[in-house]
Amino acid sequence: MLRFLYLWLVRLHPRRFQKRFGDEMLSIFDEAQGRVGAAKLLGDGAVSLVRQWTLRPEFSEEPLAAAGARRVHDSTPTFCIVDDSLPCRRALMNGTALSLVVFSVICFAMIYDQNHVVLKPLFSVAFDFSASSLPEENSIQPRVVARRQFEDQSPPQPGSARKGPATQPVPAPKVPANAPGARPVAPKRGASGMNPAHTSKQESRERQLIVPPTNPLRHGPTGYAGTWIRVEIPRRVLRSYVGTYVADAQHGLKLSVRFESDVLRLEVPGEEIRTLLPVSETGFLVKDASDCRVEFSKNQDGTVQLDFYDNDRHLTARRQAGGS
Amino acid sequence: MKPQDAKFAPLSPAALHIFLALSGGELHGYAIMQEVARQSEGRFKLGPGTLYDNLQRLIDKAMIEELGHRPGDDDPRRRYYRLSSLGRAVFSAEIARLEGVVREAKSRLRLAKPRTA
Repeated sequence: MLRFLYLWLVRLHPRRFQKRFGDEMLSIFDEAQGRVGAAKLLGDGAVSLVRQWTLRPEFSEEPLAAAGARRVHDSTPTFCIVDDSLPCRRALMNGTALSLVVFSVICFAMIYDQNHVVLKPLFSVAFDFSASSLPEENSIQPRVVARRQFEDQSPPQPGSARKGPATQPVPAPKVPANAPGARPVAPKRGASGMNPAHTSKQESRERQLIVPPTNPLRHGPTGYAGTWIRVEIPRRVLRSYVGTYVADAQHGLKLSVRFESDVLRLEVPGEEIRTLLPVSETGFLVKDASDCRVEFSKNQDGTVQLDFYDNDRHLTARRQAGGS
Repeated sequence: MKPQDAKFAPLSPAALHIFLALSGGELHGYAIMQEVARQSEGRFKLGPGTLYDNLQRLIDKAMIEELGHRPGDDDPRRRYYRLSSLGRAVFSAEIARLEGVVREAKSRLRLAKPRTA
């Protein structure tokens, strides 16, 4: 059996090497004593195989015979092509190995991207969707007038849209509740108290708010269609959600929201701690989890309510008195 | 040492041992392997793959000649090899180079050794 394997190892060597030394290698194998010696020769044969194909390409082919032009008596010139246009074997093998490595890396990256939510921070643009605010003629730029309004606390003036490249980032617009432009998220729950209606200019500069044209949070537990953009929310707003929330419908289950390392963390008893990534001032996605989100809102009695959506599960909890 | 011999220096350990084994006369492949193991007291062993890889390169550089098999030999598959004149010259040059290295090393080690009173 070992000899059969060694025979095939020798036959896999380049033809020239096999022709010159194949018989001798088999002769040495036959003289090897014991299975240990034969096994060592098998290993040596495998190494030799790899070496001959990768490091000795110059010996794998027979040397070209001297190209001499055939003498043709009618003095017609003849030509011999000496150069082989095909790539050498080493280049082909190295190219194959490199292609396999690149292909594997791309496949791994695609699989990793499918299994992990990757949120990329983008610059913010405020959109004005009110019917009275029609874009200027021939204007294809976003309504930067909305941003100006937020900064100057003054209503937009007709024709006051600033012309400029549409891709400029908008630094920190404020979002008053009565602004004709961007709508605050989840206003129907009376969340005006939670909206930073009157923030300082410094905070407004720090903040970037993106208001999507529709609020997918209202579409239901699984309504996170489309691409979400992570937003920067002031720490003051994030800290306003910290506290212990009690889910009465789940036998008084207590959920804990903490503010750590500039992010909110949600702890459900018996489950792993979840990191909340803001997509609006009241809506949060759960990091590294698909179809899992949290929404904060303010009830009419002033208590803060937390809605936790995890696939088909929905928890509603109210913050206990004494929460910050 | 002639300049044309110097261009082959330094020899690889396997090539050096093959030259050393063939310096005593013509040998076939398996005998070269055994002679190398004997001369190095078992510290350096050549496998057939390494042996014939080196032989292939040394034959192509005309430092070793292939004599073919000998009639009357036990195994007709055996082929004998010997050093060519170029191979002997290169081997001599390599030994001279190594002697110089050993001499230099010994003198430096003697200097570095602290003198005992």
